[in-house]
Amino acid sequence: MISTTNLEFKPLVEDKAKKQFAEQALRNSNASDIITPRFPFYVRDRLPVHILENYELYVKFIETYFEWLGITNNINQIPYLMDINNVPNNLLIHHKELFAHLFPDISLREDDGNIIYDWNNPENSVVDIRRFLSFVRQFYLTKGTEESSRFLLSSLFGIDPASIDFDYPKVQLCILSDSIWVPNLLEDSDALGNTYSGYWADSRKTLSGGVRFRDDYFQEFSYSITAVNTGVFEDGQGNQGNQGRYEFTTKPIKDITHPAGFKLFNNVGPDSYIPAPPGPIDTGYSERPLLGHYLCYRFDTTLDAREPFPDVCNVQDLFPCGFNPYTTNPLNGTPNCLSSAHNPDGFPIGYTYGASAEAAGYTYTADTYNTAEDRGYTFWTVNHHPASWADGIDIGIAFGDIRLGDLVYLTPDLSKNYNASPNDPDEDVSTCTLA
Amino acid sequence: MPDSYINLSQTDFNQVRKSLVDFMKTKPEFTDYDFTGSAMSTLIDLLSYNTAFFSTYTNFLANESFIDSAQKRDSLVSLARLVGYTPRSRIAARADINVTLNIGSLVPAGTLFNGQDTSFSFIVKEDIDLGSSTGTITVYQNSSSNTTKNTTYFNGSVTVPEQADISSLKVTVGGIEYNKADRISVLSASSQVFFVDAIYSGAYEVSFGDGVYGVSVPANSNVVVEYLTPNGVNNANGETVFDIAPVTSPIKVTKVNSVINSAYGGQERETIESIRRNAPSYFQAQNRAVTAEDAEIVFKIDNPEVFDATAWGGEDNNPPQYGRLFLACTKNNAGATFTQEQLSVFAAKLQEKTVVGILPEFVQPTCYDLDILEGEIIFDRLVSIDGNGLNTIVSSKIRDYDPACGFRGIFPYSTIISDLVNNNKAIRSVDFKVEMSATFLGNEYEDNTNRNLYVSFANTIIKSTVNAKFSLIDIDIFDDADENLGYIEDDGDGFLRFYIMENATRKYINYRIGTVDYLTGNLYVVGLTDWNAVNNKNFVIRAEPNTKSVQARKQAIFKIGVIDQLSVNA
Repeated sequence: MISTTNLEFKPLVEDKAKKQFAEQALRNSNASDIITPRFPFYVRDRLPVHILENYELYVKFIETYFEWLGITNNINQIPYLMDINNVPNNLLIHHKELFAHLFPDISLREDDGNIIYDWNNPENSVVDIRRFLSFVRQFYLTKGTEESSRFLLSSLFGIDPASIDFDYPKVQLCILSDSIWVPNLLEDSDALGNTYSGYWADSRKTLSGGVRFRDDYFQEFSYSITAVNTGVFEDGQGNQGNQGRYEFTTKPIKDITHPAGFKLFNNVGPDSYIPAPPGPIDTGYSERPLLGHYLCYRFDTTLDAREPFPDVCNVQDLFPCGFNPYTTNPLNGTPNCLSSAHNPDGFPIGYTYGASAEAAGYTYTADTYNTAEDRGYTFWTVNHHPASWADGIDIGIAFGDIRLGDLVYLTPDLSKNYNASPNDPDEDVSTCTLA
Repeated sequence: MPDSYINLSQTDFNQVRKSLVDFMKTKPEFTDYDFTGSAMSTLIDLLSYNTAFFSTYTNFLANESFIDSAQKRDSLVSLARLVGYTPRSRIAARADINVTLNIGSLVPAGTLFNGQDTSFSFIVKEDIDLGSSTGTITVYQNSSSNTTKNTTYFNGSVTVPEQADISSLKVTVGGIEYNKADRISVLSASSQVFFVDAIYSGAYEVSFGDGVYGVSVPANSNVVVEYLTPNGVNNANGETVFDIAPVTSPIKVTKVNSVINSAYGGQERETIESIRRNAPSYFQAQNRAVTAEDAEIVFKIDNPEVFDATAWGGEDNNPPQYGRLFLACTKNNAGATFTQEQLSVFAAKLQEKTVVGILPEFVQPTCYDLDILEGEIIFDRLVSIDGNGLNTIVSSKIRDYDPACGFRGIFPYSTIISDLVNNNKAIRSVDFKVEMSATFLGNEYEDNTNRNLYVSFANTIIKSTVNAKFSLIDIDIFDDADENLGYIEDDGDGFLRFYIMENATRKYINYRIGTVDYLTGNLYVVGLTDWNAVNNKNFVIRAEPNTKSVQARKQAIFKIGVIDQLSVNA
């Protein structure tokens, strides 16, 4: 029996205890958080009725004690620790360490700064982390599929899964032949009356024998992910738009779902190419179609990356034995300043360079085909190799000497409002018959 | 990574008491109470003490409920079980030896060999038919001449003690051998399989199917569980000499002809830190080798005799090799490697779990040295008169952080400097140069027709820091070379050049003796025919990394090599 100076005798009231518990139950049912005390079962179940009805202050004391125990000392969290749906927010991250340990603790959208998820503060997350955790095993079972990448990108960066496209360079590429180069020993002339230096063995009318070229960017194992940002974004030059290609870091994808042995690209504009020197480019960026930029020529396009912008005329033709599309600027008729920049010491694409080639009597002088029409095509664009950027490449340097990490800027065609790319992102490649 | 310790409740008595009193005072009924009154104070004390006691228990319980905060092995084992991960048991060391028999071609199980170097016994686990009187067998380190058999089948399971090597389990039911179940999805009601789970106190439990997933084994069945109980574990590794133990059987091994692979793979049971790291990775892999990390964990679990392993996609190679999954693994903490034949077996086994079209390929790891050849220690004259002994302190500290050929090894330069300065009052500052070095042994290159040397440090190299010094062969053009030495350096543009010193003046012999890729740390020296490799004259090539905190990457791993005396100045 507790006796204090404040205790005063109260007459027995019928059903008082019952009413009190009804009130308590009501309080509990309105609780906004599972932490809200539901703990004083001792009061309800163990105290004798006569105590409950006659010693209100004592009962209140005990009830207060258990309420404190539940609120301040978190005893009542114990039953919820293992329940994903009810585990307190501050403990949710401990479940992550077992079930999703490779996921970053926090993920922000770079364009608007929104927190996609924050394991330390789940309520601030756009993503429902609890639901995510419930289904994470299903996600693991789909690793390496388009579905898993979509799920991961939407989970990490809040990208609308429907806006995520996958491209496979192996089905998109128009490439040059790897057939041998036949020197024009008879000094034949082309349609314009110019003597050309040679031609590809498969055909003088086509550049490709349909054989695909394997390199870092084109092989059977490349895939490119294009994600569209549906929110407002800024292009870095003060211009705002409603959507654009979303540049995301590929590391979590590579760590969590990317099948080892494949090459992953985040398909964004070349303005994102600039690597943080001096480190290597972990996973490169590319434009679509990806491999149009590897080889210097693409067909059926309508834009020349180098013309008509004379201020880029100091750019060297990286494939000197390739084909320079213009002899004159189609807009103003000025001579193409790149025509003379061909490097006669270079070597043709697809041909194995080396002593054996020289011994075979092949020479690699500049090709005299001047226009795409000479080759039977409407146009070619010349773009940089995605792994070969340089702020300044000395005239005369051969393509093979350009090292990873260098950067060549190509000027986009402002007249077409292609601010991010020297290429036409909307061009139709369906007629790319040589792929 | 969260703060791993969960502090759910207060455990300090005074804080608990104050908290309780403060809370009571918020209630109208107790606002004016005198909580220092004897009766109330006693009651508050009692409740506070009780609360503090159980708060400790609560915190303990909460911490043991999560994999990142649990401290008890049993808790981690239980949590790992939740995701289907079975912690590795002790692993018996094994060795491959070539033997000759006196009768027939069958080497019976239980044939015993004694290791001379380590004094541990090795046995033949199962009957082996050599097909002739001579052949190669694998022997396993075991505490006795026979595997241990356990037939105590109680409540549908057999308990296997913590001393057992679980990878050696052989289970028979009524004389029929059952297989270990790796995944439930391929099982039917007729699958003759057993399951293994880690249970408390480091023991394991063998159980059987429920009649839907695997055959249900009725009570009183004749269940025999057989296993190795290695007592040498890692101490038995490296055994190279095997004696034939005397046997009474008419069939006996008369001679150990050679040791094909010295003893390796012996390991203690998995540490709690390893369980903490591997269980989540295993859950994430779902027994498939899709990502590089998946491949690493799946491979390690399937091959417990492997000491350490790493994996990466071929797209990260330079040049890239698409469609391939690369792995490197070691036998022990000294970086010993497996034979190509063993690696081929590993690859074939792993391919069952890789993506179709992706080929696993093993490469041999290379453990390079980190050399400390120059640097400076600035000491405080108020603490040390002449700085004597500081080189020993610095050298010892550097060796404390030896990456030791580990696949995740890192040389924590900043931590070492910080430790040295903060823990040694005599040292005011210290700085030293770190160089990566590769050694080519002269006795392996005495034939000078194959002198193409390749090094892949896998760390970015500072331009113009590549250097090598080597003995020159005896030909006329080197007659005037100082000390008969040749040198190699890089020109800062990616080429290696070979020169000699004549009267302290450089004379270049070849401006294109090789190449260096600064970004990837790859070096090629081509046709180094002028190196005099006889009499164990080694060729050592060094390069300075872009960051002194050198990291192991892919198959390039590191250990501390030469540490020279640093200059000591006040």
